[in-house]
Amino acid sequence: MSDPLLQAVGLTVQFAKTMAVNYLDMQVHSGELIGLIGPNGSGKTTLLRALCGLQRPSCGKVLVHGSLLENDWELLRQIGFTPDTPPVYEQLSVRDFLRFIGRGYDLPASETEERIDFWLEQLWLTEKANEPIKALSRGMRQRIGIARTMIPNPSVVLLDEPAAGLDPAGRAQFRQLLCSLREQGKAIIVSSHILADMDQYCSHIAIMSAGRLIKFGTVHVIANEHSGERCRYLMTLTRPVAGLHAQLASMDGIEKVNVDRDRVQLEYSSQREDAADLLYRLVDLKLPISAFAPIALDLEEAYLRTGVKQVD
Amino acid sequence: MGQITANALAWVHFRTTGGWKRSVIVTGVYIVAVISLTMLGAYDSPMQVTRTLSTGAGIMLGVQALVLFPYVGYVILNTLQLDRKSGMMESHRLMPVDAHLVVLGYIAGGASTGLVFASVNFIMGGIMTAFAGMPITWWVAANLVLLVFCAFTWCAAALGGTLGNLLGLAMLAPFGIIMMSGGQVGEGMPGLLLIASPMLGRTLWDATSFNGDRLSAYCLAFVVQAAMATVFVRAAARRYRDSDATAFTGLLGFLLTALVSFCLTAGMPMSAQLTRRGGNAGRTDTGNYVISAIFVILIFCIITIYSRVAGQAGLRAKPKAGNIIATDTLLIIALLGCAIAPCVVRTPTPAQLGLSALICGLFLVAMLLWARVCCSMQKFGLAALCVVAAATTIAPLIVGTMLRYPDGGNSLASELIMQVSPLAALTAVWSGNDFKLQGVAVVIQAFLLLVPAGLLLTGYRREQNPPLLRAMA
Repeated sequence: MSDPLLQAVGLTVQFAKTMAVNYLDMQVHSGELIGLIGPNGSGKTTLLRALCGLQRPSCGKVLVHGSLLENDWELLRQIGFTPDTPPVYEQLSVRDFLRFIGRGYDLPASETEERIDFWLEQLWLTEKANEPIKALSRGMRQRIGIARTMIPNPSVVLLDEPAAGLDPAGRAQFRQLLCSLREQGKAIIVSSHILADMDQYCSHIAIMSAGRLIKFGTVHVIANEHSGERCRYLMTLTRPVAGLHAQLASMDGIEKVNVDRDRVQLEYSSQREDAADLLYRLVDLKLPISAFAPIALDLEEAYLRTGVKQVD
Repeated sequence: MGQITANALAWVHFRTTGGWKRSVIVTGVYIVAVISLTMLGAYDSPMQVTRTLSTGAGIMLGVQALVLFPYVGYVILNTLQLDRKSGMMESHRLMPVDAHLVVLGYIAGGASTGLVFASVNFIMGGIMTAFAGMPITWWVAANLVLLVFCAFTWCAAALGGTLGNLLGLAMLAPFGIIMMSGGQVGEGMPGLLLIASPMLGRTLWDATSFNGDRLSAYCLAFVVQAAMATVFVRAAARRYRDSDATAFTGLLGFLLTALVSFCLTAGMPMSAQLTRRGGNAGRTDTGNYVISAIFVILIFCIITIYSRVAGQAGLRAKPKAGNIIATDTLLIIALLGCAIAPCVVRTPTPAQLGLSALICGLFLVAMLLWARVCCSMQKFGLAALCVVAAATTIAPLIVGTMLRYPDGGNSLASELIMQVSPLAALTAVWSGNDFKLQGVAVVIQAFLLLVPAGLLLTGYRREQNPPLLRAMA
């Protein structure tokens, strides 16, 4: 495997008595897109801020391309970070703001213009290029924040809740954008609470709780970690059946029954023979079953099964 | 210079504060207003055109001062604070730009619209001065003094902007007070007028103030202002790069204290050139200068001590106890030199000088120990309260001294001892003065020095890892 583009070694951030990030080790390689999830206050934002050098670690170190970030500020060119509410100069137009970013990174004017045009198009902002930022919505500002991050073309991209203000079309487009960045070989970490989206674009998932990385692995591994013995099944009926919930809940081995008119979800053993036996018993009850199939565990389900507290 | 004008921050803040559009409109309106008012004045009293023009030049200098000092200072302060609060400053920190250049960019960008206006005002004022038959050297010299002073206050504003609302205003307030009082506030500490150079001598507004006999004072003022501005920019750059860091390191704090000490000490023999009333300062005046200078320097010493201790508490790699003690000792000795420097002006006897050094030294050590205790409790704000503690313990002694010696006719040793530290009471007890007040002072001083030392030695709040104890462990 190639050398990691971003590496955290024993990274610890302490605020008074609170350990926001607790002795955390992490590596992100080229082409990896890590989805960072966890309850509020688990240390996700602090971790991202420490990784890009905005938060001084209490101990531990951050290596970018193998070098210590604090020793070489030129390495900042390699890191892009978008906070959950990207700061902007509201008086400026979108294009002027991005020009300022280009100047800040010492990019030649012609190259800056090219990059601005490219990213405005990528983020559907071309029509808003000359409008003052103060006239734009939150979602638009979120896009400007992402454009600001991408203008210097960093190899490591850290995004904190990037899709929070985006509309459904924007989210779909954002997914495509992340997949395209992954293909370009960038190392990306995205912190988000929209887990339904994350299993579509992330290569890895990291679950944080109380400043620690409690789970780390590929999306497939994390999503199916708890699916060993139990499995969720979806049963579709031709018509709703009265008293079905109580009837199913009283049966051996069935748990977490959820009846919604003609759709029933329940949890049962994942063994195929057991599933066949269950179907036989359900048919024996003379239920009007039109379909019966296991549901693959999604990321949200997997996350909830880790048992992390809602608020750390 | 090129790096400043081509600075992205300077560019963006010129744009956000209005850019060329606002500058041209405001300046245009101002030009029309000045020309109209001057013509109106000349039409109203055609026999006194020269007087109208000279009055106009004075008013334009006032406008220049208002634009360059409070307006630009506020713009810089406000720009930095807005960027700090909105998170924009963090966005800038992700850019590969040297922190000092960023701070200079903020200063240049914030000052740019004001400078465009001031340039036009300078030309118009120059023309008016020439037509009024006034010496053009006055106009040029006054503007130069004002510009250098304002550039210095802009650096102070930049530092204030990285600190916070109240501290930011506190950085500018002393200069504002001296300016508004017409330099009278500086009468008690002539050295202060070296820092607030527009109020030096008969002040900026008096054309006779620039007749050449104060050249050395102005040169000294420029050097001190440049040196202090450099310290401010360095401190602001530290705060910009790391918002958790203290603005000053021990070294930066010492440099600032040394500059203040130098200013206040050098200002005393030059008081005739610096103050409005001129003439030679009497022995009583000099005694008061010494006392007030030491008081101010001790405040700067405490800021330095706090900065060093709080900064050390935030260090990732903790220094060893031996290094801490050795560096603290060096710092205290260096600060002590600054604190007692003003005494030299009154040529004290070695015994008097030694006694002053002992008292100031004990006071500084007490503050250092208190700062360490507070930082060990992670109470950095509390450590800052050492300054308040110092002030409150000094204040009763000042009042007491004033009550006892209304004519100020006692010896230098008594003045120094009584006003610098509560420990002074020990000497006063020995000399048979007011026992009650001295007894209170002894208790306070003992508290200041012995309690923190005891707390540190007994491992106060050991579970919270006091820096000194942790280093010793």
